[in-house]
Amino acid sequence: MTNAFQMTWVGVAGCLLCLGCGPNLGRPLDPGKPIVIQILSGGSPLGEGLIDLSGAGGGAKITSTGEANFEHVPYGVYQVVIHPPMDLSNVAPLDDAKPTPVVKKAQPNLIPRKFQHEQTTPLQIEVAEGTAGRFEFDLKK
Amino acid sequence: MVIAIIGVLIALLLPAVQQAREAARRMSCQNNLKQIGLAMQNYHDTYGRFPAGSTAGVPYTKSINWRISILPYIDQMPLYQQLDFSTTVFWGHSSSTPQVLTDARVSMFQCPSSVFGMTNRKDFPSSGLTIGSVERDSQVMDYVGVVGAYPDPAGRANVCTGSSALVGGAFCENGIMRTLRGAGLNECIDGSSNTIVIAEQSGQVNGIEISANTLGGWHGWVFNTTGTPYTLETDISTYAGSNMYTCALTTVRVPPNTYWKSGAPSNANLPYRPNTIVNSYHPGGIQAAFADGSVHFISEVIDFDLLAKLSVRDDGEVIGEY
Repeated sequence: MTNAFQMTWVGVAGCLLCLGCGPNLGRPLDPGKPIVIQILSGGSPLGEGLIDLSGAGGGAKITSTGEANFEHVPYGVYQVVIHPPMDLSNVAPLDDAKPTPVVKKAQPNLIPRKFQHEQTTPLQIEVAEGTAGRFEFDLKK
Repeated sequence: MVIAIIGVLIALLLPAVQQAREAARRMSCQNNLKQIGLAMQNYHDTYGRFPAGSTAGVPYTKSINWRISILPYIDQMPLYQQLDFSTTVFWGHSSSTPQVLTDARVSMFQCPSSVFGMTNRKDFPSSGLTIGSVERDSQVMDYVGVVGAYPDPAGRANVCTGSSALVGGAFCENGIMRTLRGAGLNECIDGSSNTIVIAEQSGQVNGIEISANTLGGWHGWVFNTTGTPYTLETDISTYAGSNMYTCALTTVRVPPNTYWKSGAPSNANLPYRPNTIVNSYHPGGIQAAFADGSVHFISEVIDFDLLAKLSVRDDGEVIGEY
C-alpha cells in the first residue's frame, strides 16, 4: 500500500515535470531590472500623471507619492517624458442621455510643456547593471 | 506501480493534447480572420474600396467602425438591418444604443485562444452597466484594423500626427484601414499581399485586456468634440486633439505581444489610446489578414521596421522575409 502510494507521488511528480508551467506568453524580455522614478514639483510629490521612457522603455503611472514603478526596464539610456493624467469621461460621459458638464480642473499645470515631449525633455536616465534603480527629479529645479 | 505508469503516460500525453488543442484554436482563429478578409474583399467588390476604418458621425455618438460595415458580408444582415444609421447611437453603454447591438455576440470577432471570453466586465468599465434597468454588456472584440504605422517607414511628414498629439500617442493614415474614407486596392501601392488590413488583438497588456474596444467595440472614433474637427482636408501633421479617442483601429507603434504583464507606455495603456498593441495567446506571435484576403502568422520577434512596412499601404519599401 505504501509502495503504491509512493509510486503515485512519483507519477504525479513526473506529470508536473512534463507539463511544466505552461507556455511562456508575451514577447521575451531583454535583460533589464526594476526601477523607480520619483517626480517632485518644488519638493512636493507630483500626485498624478504618466511617465514614458523613450524607445522600448515602457511606461508607468505616477502614484500619490510621486513615484512610478517600472517592473522591468531593459538596460539602456532613456529620455523621461511626463504626461498629465487624461480622463476619457471628460470626452465620453458614461451615459450620453444624461451628459455631465465638462469640468476643467482649476489647478495649475504642474508639468511644464518641455517635459511632455521626447524631443524637448531634459530628463534622462541610464539603466545599467549594478547601478542604482531609483531616480528622482524635481521639475522646478 | 500501475498508477505510476499511468501517471507517467498521462504526463507524456497531456502536453501533446494541450498543443493539439491550441493548434485547433489557432486554426479556428485563422478561419475568423480569413472570413473577415473575404468580407473585406466582398465589400470592396461592392463599393470599389475597403470600408473606412472609422467614420466620424455628427454628432460623434453616431460614428461607426469597420466591424459594422462588414456585418452584411459575415452573415449578420439581420443585425445590420436593425440599425438606423440616421438615428442609431453606437456607444456600447448608452441608453440610446439599441439593445440588439449591446446584446449582439458575433463569434467571428472572437479568437477562441483568448482567455477573456465573449464579455469582460473586469477590464472594461463600459461592460456590465445597468442602464435604464437593463444590464448592458459589450462583446470582446479580438481583431483590430490597422490604420497605419508610426513612424512612417518612408519618412513622410504628411501622413502622421506628432509623436504624442493624440491622447498620448500618434496616429497615421498610411494604412489600408484609414479613417473617414476607405482606401481602394488601387491605393495599396505596396501590393495587397504586403499590406495588413486586420490584426489580432486577443492577448493581454499590463496583465489585463487592453484592446481598441472603447465603448463597446462598435463605435467609431471621436474626433475633437470641442476643438478643430478632423476632416478629409485636415493637415494630419499639425493635428492634435486631447478630446479625441480611438476605437477598432491601431497605429502600429509597439512590437507585438510586448508589455504582457506590465510597463505599457501611455500610447498603448488604455483601450482608447491610438497605439494599442497587437497581441495574442498563440505562443510566439499573432495572425493577421492581408489586403489580398490571405492570413499569415507573424512572429512576435519580427523586426519592427518590417512590421511597420507591412502595416503601411504605400511606403514603397521592399518587404523582406517574415
